[in-house]
Parts: sequence; structure tokens; C-alpha cells
Amino acid sequence: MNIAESVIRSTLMRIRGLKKSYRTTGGELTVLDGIDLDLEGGDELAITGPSGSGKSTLLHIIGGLDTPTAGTIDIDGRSLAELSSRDLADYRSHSVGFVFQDHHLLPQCTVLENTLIPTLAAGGATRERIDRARWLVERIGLGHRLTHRPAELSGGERQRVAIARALVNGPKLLLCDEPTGNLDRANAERIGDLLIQLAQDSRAILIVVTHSLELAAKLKIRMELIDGRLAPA
Amino acid sequence: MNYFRLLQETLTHYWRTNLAVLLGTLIGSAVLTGSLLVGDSMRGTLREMTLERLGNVDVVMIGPKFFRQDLPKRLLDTQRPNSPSSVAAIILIRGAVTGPNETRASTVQIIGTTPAFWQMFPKTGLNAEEAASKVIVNQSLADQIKLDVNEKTRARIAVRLEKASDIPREGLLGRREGTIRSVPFTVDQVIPDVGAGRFSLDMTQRMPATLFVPIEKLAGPIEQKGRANALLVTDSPTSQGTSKVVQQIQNALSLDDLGVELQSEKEWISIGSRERILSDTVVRAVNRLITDEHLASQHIMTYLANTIALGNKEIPYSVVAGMDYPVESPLGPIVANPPKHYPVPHQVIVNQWTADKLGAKVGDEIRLEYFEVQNDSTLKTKNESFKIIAVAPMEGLAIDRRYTPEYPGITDADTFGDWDAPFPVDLDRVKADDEKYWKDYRTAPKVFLSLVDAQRLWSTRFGNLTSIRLVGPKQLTAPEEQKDVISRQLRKLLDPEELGFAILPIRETSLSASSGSTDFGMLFVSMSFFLIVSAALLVGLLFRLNTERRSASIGVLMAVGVRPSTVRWLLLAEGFVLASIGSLLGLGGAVLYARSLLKLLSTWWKDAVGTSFIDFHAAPASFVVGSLSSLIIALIAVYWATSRISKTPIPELFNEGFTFVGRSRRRRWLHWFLAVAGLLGGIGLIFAGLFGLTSEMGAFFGGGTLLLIGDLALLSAFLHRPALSDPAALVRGAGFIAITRLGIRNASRYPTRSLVTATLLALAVFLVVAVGSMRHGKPPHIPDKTSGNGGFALLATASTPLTRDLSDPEGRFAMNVSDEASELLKNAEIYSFRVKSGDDASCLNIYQPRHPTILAATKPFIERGGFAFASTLAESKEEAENPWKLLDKDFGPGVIPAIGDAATLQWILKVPVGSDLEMRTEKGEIVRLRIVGGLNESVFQGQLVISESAFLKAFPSITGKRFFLIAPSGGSSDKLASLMEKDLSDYGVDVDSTGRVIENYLSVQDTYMAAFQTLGGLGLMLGTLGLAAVLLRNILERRGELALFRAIGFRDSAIAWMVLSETGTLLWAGLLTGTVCALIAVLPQLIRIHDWGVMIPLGVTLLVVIFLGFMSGFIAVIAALRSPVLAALRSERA
Repeated sequence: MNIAESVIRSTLMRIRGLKKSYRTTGGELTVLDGIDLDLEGGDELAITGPSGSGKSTLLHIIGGLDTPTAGTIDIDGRSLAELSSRDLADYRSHSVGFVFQDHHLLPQCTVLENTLIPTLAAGGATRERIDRARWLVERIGLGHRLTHRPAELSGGERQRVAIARALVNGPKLLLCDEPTGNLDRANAERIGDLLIQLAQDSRAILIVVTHSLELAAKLKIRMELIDGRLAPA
Repeated sequence: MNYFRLLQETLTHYWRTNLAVLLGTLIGSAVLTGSLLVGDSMRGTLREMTLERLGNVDVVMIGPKFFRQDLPKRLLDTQRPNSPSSVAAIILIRGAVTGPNETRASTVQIIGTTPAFWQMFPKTGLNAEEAASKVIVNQSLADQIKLDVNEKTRARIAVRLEKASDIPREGLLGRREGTIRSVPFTVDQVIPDVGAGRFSLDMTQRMPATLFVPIEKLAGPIEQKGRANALLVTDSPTSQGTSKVVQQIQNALSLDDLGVELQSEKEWISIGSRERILSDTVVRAVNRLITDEHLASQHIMTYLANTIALGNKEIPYSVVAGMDYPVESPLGPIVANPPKHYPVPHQVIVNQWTADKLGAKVGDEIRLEYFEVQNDSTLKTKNESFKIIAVAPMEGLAIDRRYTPEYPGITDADTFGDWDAPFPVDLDRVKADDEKYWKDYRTAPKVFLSLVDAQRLWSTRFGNLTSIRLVGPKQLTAPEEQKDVISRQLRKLLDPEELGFAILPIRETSLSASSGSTDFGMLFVSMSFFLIVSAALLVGLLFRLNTERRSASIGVLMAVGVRPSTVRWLLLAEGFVLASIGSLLGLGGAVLYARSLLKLLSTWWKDAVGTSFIDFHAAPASFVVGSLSSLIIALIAVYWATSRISKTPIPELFNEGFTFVGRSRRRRWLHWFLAVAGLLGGIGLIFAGLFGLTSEMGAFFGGGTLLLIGDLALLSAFLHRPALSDPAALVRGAGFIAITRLGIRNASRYPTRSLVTATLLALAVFLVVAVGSMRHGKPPHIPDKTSGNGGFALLATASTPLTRDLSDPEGRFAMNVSDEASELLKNAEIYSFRVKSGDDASCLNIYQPRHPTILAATKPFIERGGFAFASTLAESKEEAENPWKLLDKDFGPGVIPAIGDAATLQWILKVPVGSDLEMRTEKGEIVRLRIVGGLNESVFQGQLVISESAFLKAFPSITGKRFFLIAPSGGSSDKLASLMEKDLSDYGVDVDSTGRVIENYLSVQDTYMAAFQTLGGLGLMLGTLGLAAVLLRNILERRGELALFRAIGFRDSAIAWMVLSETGTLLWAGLLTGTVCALIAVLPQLIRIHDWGVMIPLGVTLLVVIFLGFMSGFIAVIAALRSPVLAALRSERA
């Protein structure tokens, strides 16, 4: 069995009536207002929408970084709302891979170490995981820069490392928040392809929040978040 | 990749910021451990000094009476197991020494030495036999009297010594004049102040001025040939503790050593005393012996009647005797026929000679005139009449001269004319038949009265019997055998301690006292407290800033599933590593810190405590305790810094310029509540103090503290205030005011950071200003009855007690006071105090005093009142007006009221007003001194004052006055002081102005305040560093924002002003809040400041802080302006 094929069972994600609102000095601000969504392993979803529409918030809630005001998210039949903070951490560790607009690489760590960071939360960097990390770094085209630190990489290279980091634990969900937002067109093109390819390899659900129509166009499903609701783009 | 590796990488990657945290911990560790090392040094130095000044002496016995010099021989009985290894009997007295150039040392320790004494101080490096035959002075005395002695030249000195009279000076037959003798000595050698040169039994760090004289050369002049008054013992190495030695000394003391004399007569044993009066302790023991052994006894009290008169006929200077009258032989009867004639109160038997001379017969009433000794040693003539009940024929016991003890100068005189009496004798009254009686019957009493009458009239605090006659056990017939048996039995019944012989395990007690009057370690920990807290807050602040700066990395760890608790542990581990390294490196800094403090203390204290004496000592335990404590403190700070990690929503960690937001933002009501409560409470308390509802000082300090809390809460409320109702209010207007408003508002951008910084500054300033205001400066030298000098300009002390009254012209004449001084003293107000010497309990002594010096306040002094009291136990109006009256208040049996200086009570003796301190009386009884009042900045530092009546009950044998307060009626105090020192040099009198004495005490207290202020100032500067760190961090985080201001056309000056407004807000918030509240807190103290010069260092400290604060602002401005606009606008975290 290929390392990339380690996720064999198809994942099911089911979101119902998801709401998120904030209390502000100007009153209550509703960002998400009843999101319903069903996805399964191998699905690729691009979410677009204007700034402040709640795209990132939706992604954070799906990734267990934030909690909804109402509604449920079930992953493989298990509701995130029922998870304790410890279980949520485990969920993020084993089931979710994040790619942010800003790479957020640890400046003190090398490319390989940064890639291996998620293994810290998943029982440590075993030989198998180190091999997978090396394979991923090879896949993103930085096999020759394993020992380089973020400061020695370009913006595109850093973001590629962030993608490798997101995939090192073989997540069921690959959540990307404006992954190409800080990159030039060529790099953005390359990162987009890489994301899709790697997600397909691992049969993970890929959700990309982006302003980039080019990137959105590469994904199978495209939706737009307007007034707190998802609608086909 | 593993957590350890991640930790390692993080520590090295962020080395700059970590270094700052490490330095903060290092400072904390250095300060904390250094403070403990100061304590070690103080204890170590005092311990070393103790060991050096005691040589090999383990146990010491100081006798109120001189004992036989052969006591060591009796003690060193080799047959006895665990006998002491060496014993020296020495004479240890005080006197005044005048050098060749008339330079004078008034308080000199004079030691009559033996070879055994010198052997106890091998460090001196002298041959013991040789040294014991030489007159030697130590370097301190040589310096004082400017003595230059070498191998070729000898120097002559004059030593003024008090004759050690066995007879109490304040008894009728005690000599009060001519008691000082000037003895010339030729000094053979000067020895350095080491070994015996440092010997002293006083627990003080001051170097003693000592004169060593061969014991026989000293015993003669003080009239104690063959005797000594101090026993020094070196314990045997095999001894099982000093208590065994103490027991051995007690057993070795003979009745003669204890001053008890047994006279063996043919038919009885007479028990008397070298003091010529039997103490109550001896009488109790003899009575017990009488009861236990069923002995026949007779108690006798003889006295001298100036006159026995009947009508106009009189007999001068006659011995009269009161006694009980056994009718059985051999102790009775006085009148054989009928034998049952004995006087009851107000009755007397006269002998035939007296009856004949007065023409008296049975039934006549005769009058006895006699001297009564007053408390001030003056003699008052009194008289009493008695009815004659019998006339005793001139035979048998009626003419027994042995009823009267021997009085040198009187009983051994051939004629009245040869009497050398200590009281006035009018020889014109002595007729030929009186001389004949003296010749024939000498001291045979002329009048016999009841013992009750004799004791009623003539008993003194020294006793009320002159002798007791005993008839020994009937089975023993030989008088010497009887004497031996009674002597042994009586000795067993006498406890030397009850007779005033103090046997002390001096090494043990001195070493225990060498822990110091104050735990200097803890004192400096307290003084450095703010420095430690500042360092801890700085560590916390820097660590928090670091954590905030790395919030995105932390966010990533959490986003990838690392649990928040694990992330926190990682951060704590990082903090632990930094704190551990900092704490360990701080140990090196601790040595530097301690050495610097010791250097400062030595310099500050040199004048006040007489020597720069503190050597550096370090106990390993201090390093362990110091480093561990600072590690824990740093970890607490790190724990605080990371406390919000697990509560922060993960997405927020990715925000640009992330900062932890505490609950404070959500609990605004709490800020307002604290602000209102603090401000109202503070103002209320101050008003309560102003209107006398509570103690003024407490009210102001409490009020100031509450105001500080209120102000800081107000600041917190301001920093956490919600957005303005007018959304454009912040940017309304233009120019200077608008920019200033924006700068001020920026201070609330990161409320927690700003609040911590301002609080740090405010607390530091509060402490520094409050403590700085408590410094006294030089007190005024103007006598004022309600001040610490009590209205007295001069304070005199004498090394030898003055038994005559300085305010009495005759007393002054008797003491050879010159006419000029006598004239100045004539109208002066003089109060004299008896002194029970003890340990100096003032702040000038670093040792822990065990037995403070006790002064006896006379009735007139108590009635006079005066001085400033800090607190008293006064209940009535009268007591409140003159708290000295509390000294006469009855607090129940075994409790003696005492007054002391508030500083002495609080800091040295640690007995607050209202509590008790145990005191051992001369008879070995433990009484409690109830502290009834504390004096403010008084001349009584180092002593406790009790009433003279209580004093005389506790210490009956102490005669004469050694402490004097003098208020000259005008003229020059300085002139009077120098005249008194000159005229009374025989008594070793030193006179100083009360102002200077108080100033000396206060200067030591000011030293502590100065140290506290200096260390507080350092803490303040550390706080300012915190401010700088916060500002720089704020600016770095806002580089983009500031660049934007520049990009849209703001001038550099406008940006600079905006940043400075922000700096100024925090700086002034801290400084003003702290300063104003501290000044309010110490307002009552501030009003009393004598010398505003003491506020200069405080002002300088505050100016330095303001300067440093604004420098931080300027550095922040430069950092902001140097950042290229475009780069800053595009800046990203990498």
C-alpha cells in the first residue's frame, strides 16, 4: 500500500443549521446563518465570497478551532459539539490539516521539522511519519531544502511547506484559508494544483476558502457565502 | 521532531528575547540570594567576632562580690571527671585612663590578669607567664589615649579606679567619698586588637578599650587583695555540656566566696557577712538551717545612734542593738535577774554605764537620734523615744562587743578621734568618759531594743540583720567541728545565683546572640523586595510579550492538534529552562550584590557603629534557598504570562498584533467598584485621622494606600473603557491636542501591558517616596520638653557610679566639681538614674541583646514628665498627659512597668507596647517588664526605664547613679559639658549633647531607610525598563500603522509626539499616582522632618526615573521613525 493511500475509508461530513454570531458594540453580528453542507472523502469545495462574509469563520468551525453559536457538524457520524477540548485537539491532530493564508511556519524549525510539527500531537515522529514527511517535502518540490529554515525560503516555498505540514498526519479534511492569497500568479497556480493533487491522493475532503476565481475554478464544487448562507457559485 | 527538540530550537531561535527573560531572572536571583548572603555575612562576622573576643572561654562567672583567687585551684580538681580544662580568676572592672598627653579614655575595661587568663587567648601570641607580669594596653585604648609604646620607651598612664567596697555604699557605713583612686602604671606593651586584645564579655561589635594589669597590682588599689570578681572557664573537651561546668562552679564556691562569714566562738557560731549586713537570701538559708537542725539562734541588728538622750543629758555615737532575747544560755539572758526581762516594741534595756551617765532609771523614756540613709544617699537625722524596762549590769552578754560587726576605720580605732567614719562625726561632743567606754567596752551596745523596732527603723534594701548567732548541734562539742558542719550545711542551702552570682555559658549565649538583633538576611530580602518583585514582573512581562509575539506559532501548534495544556507546558518548560539558567547565573551576581551592599553598609555605618566590620560570608544553604526561591518566583511570573493561553480562541492567536486579553475587560464594574471604594475609603480614613477618630499615622498610611488602589483601579477602568459613543471622537480636531489624544488613547491599546507597567511604577514610587519621607535627617538640637530630648540639652554617663547628688552643692563639693562647673550646675535641672548594665539594645548594636540595660527613674523625674511618646497604655487623663506615671502603676505581682524607645522596642527587642519582657533580678527571680510606653526618637534608645522603687527591689546592690539628663538654665552647654568631663574624670564621665546622641541613633535608622530607598530606586529603574520593553514592543507591533501615518503625510515630529504622549501617559500615571498617594500616606511623618536635605536623593531618584522613562519613549520614537515606510507597510512575520 502506498503511503498516500493510507486513508482508505471514505469520510462523511455533514453540517446542519450552522450559525455563528458575535456580540459587538453595535449589536449582534451574524456571520453564518444556517449553513447546511454534506461532503465526503475526495470532494473538493471552493468557497468564495466577499471579505468579512464568514468564510474563514466557517473553516475555523469545521476545523475545531472555533465553536458555532448553533447547528451541528458531524464527521463520520460524530458531532464536534460533543467533543471535549481534549478530543477536539485529537480531532485536529488526526483528522484535520490546515493551510492558512500566512504560512505560520515556526521560524526556529527546518523545513522537515516544520512538516513534522503535527506529529507532536499525534504520538510523535515515528520512522513512518518521518518517511511520509520526507515524501511530502519531495512532492512539494523542496526535497533538496529539508534543512532550510523559513527565513531562507521564498513566500511560495513557505506555503508549500505549510501544505506538506497540513498533510503529514494524513488528515480526513484539508482546510485551506486563502492559501494563495499572498502569492504571485505562478506560485498560486502551482500551489493550487499541488493542493488538489495531494488531497486527491489521500482522498481527503478539500475545502478551500479563496478570493481567487482561478483557484476556485480548479475545484469540483464551488459555492459562495453570501449573507451567512452558502449558495452555488 | 519531538517536544524536546522543539524546545531546544525555540530557546536558541528566540535567544535575544529569551536573554532578556534570563537577565530578569538573573537579577531576581542575584538580589534575593545576595540579600541572604548579607544575612550570612552579618551572622558570620558576628560569630567570628564572638569567637575571637571570647578566646577559649566557654563559661564565665561574674560575681557581685569578690571571691578568693584560689577558686580555680578548687575547681580544677583532677580527681573529678570532666573537670574544666582551664580556669582563670581575674579582676574585671571599668575605669578611666589618662594617657601621657592628658588624653583620656573614660570607659576602659581593666583586667587583672593571671597566666591562666593569657593562656585562654593563644591568638594573642604572648608568653602567658610573661604577659601576666606586664602592664599591657590594647590598640584601641592606645589609639584613644594616643599612646606610643615601643621596645625602648615606656609610657606612664594614670588609671582611675573605684575601690571595691564590700560594704554597700548607700548604707550608713558605706563610703561615698574618696572611693576613686588614681593609680599610676607604666605601660610595657601595646597589643593589637586580636586575641586577648579583643576580649570582652559585652555583646557588641564595638572594639573594647582594654588595660591589662597583673592581678596583684590591681587587687591592692581596689582593696581586694587575694580576690577576683570574674571566673573564666574553658570547658573540657570531654565535657557533656556547659551545664555540668556551671554545676561544678556552683559547688566549688565556698561561703567565703559568697561573702558569708562564719565566726566560731566558744559557745556559738556567729554568721555575718562581708557586707556587714545579711542579705535576705542568706537569712532565709540560715533560718532554714535553724529549723531543720533545731538550733538555738539569735538574730541581731546593730546600728549607730548619734545620740542617746534623757532630758538634757546625752551620750554621743553609741552602738545600739536590736535582737531577739533567748533566755537560755549561752545566747541569753542579757539581764540575768530576772532572766525574762526583754524589750517589746518601744521598750529598751540600757546598760548600767548608760543609765549612770544619763541618770536614767527603769520607767524613764530615752530618745535615740540616728541617721536614716535616703534614696539619694543623703543622711537624714531622725529620732524615736523608748521606755527603759531594765538596766543591765556591766557583765556577761550585756557588754559583748561581738554583737557589732567589724567596720574598718571605726571598730579598729583606738579612740573616737581615730574614727574614719563615712558619716559626719562631731568630736566636740565626745567626752572623756565616752572615750573610756570605748576603751573598755568598745562596740558593746549601750541600748538593747526589740528586733522589731530595730528592723523597723534601720532595715535597708541590703538587709535587716547584721548577724545571727547559732548554737551548733549538741553532739558536736569542738567549736571548729561545729563551724565545719554548719558551714557545709549552710553552703548547701545557698544558691549562688540567688546571691547574684551569674554563671553563664557565655560562648553558647554569645553565639546565639550573634544571629544579630535583626535577621539581616530577611531584612535585606524585605528591603530588596521591590527589586525582586520588579524583576519578577519584568520576567512575567517579557515572557508574556514573547509569547504574544509568537502567538501564531502557538496557534499553529494548537491548530495541528497539540493540546493547549501541552502548549502551556512547553512554554512553562521554556520558562523553567530560562529561569533555571538565570537563577544559577544569578548566584554569581548574588556575590557581587552582597559585596556591594556590605561595602555600602560598612561605609554608612562606620561612624555610627564604630567600625567597618562586616566581612563577606556565604552559607551554601543561602545559595540553594536563594536560587530555588528566585526560580519559583520566575516560574510564577511565567505561569501568569502563559495563563491565558488555554482560554484564548485559537483563531485569535493568528491575528496580527495579538495580545492576551484578561477577564479585566469583561469585569469593568470591578474596576469602577475598586476605584470608588478605594478613593472614598482613602479620603474617609484621612478625615477620620484628622478628626482624631483613629491614629493619625495609621489613618494617613491606610488612606494613602487605599487612594493608591483606587487610583490604579481608575486607571484600569480608563484603559479598559469601551469605544467612545462618538465614533469619530478620537480623531476629531487637529494638531497638537488631537495627536496627544491619539497618543493617550494608544496607551489603552494593550490595557494589561499598560496597567502592569503603570502599576509597577506606581508601587515602586509609592514605596520609595514613603520610605524616603520616613528618613529623619539631622534632628534639631534645641531642647524641647515634648521632643525626644525631653527638654534636656546634655546627657552624661559615668563609668563609675556617682554616689553623691550632682544637684546638691555639698555633693558637688565632695566630688571635687570645680566652682565654675558648680555655678553652671547650680540652677540646672538634673535628673540622675541608677543603671543596671546590660546589653546595648539600641540600633548601634548589631548583636541580639538578651538583657537590655535598665535605668531607674526617680520620683521627681516621673512627676516632671515630658518627652514624646509614640504609644502608651495610658487609660486615665492624668496618665495620658504624663505617661511616665505609668511606671508607678501596679500591674500585679511580678510585673514591673517599663518604658523604652519605640524603635528599640519594635526593631531590637521586638516587644510592642503592652507586651512583657522577662528580666532576671539580682536574686535570680524572673520578673516581667510590662512595656507601658514607647518613646519617639528619644535619648533612651538602647535602655528600658523602670521606676527607682521597682529598680531597688530588683537590684538592691546597685548603688550610685551613672546616667544623667541635664538641662542647664542658660549659658553654654558645651562649656558645662567640657567642665563636667574634666572635673568628674575620676568617675569616667562623658557628656554629650542630647541632639548628637539622638542624631547618632537616627543616622543608623536612616541607613536602613537609605538602603531601602536605594534598593527601591533600583527596583523603580527595573520597572522603567519594563516600561521601555512595553513601549518598544508596542511600537514594533505598530510599525505598519506608524508607517501608514507617515505615508499619509504625518510629520515625524507629530509621530514622535504621539509616541511620547503614550509614554508620558503611562509614566505619569505611575509616577503621579505613586508619589501623590505616598505623600498623603506619610503626611504626618512629613510634617516632622527635621532636615529636608534627606528628600534630595528621593528627588534625584524620581528625576532619573522620569529621564529613563522618556528615554524609553525616545528610543521607541527612533525605532518607529527609522523603520522604512514601505517595508513597514509590507512587513510580515518571519
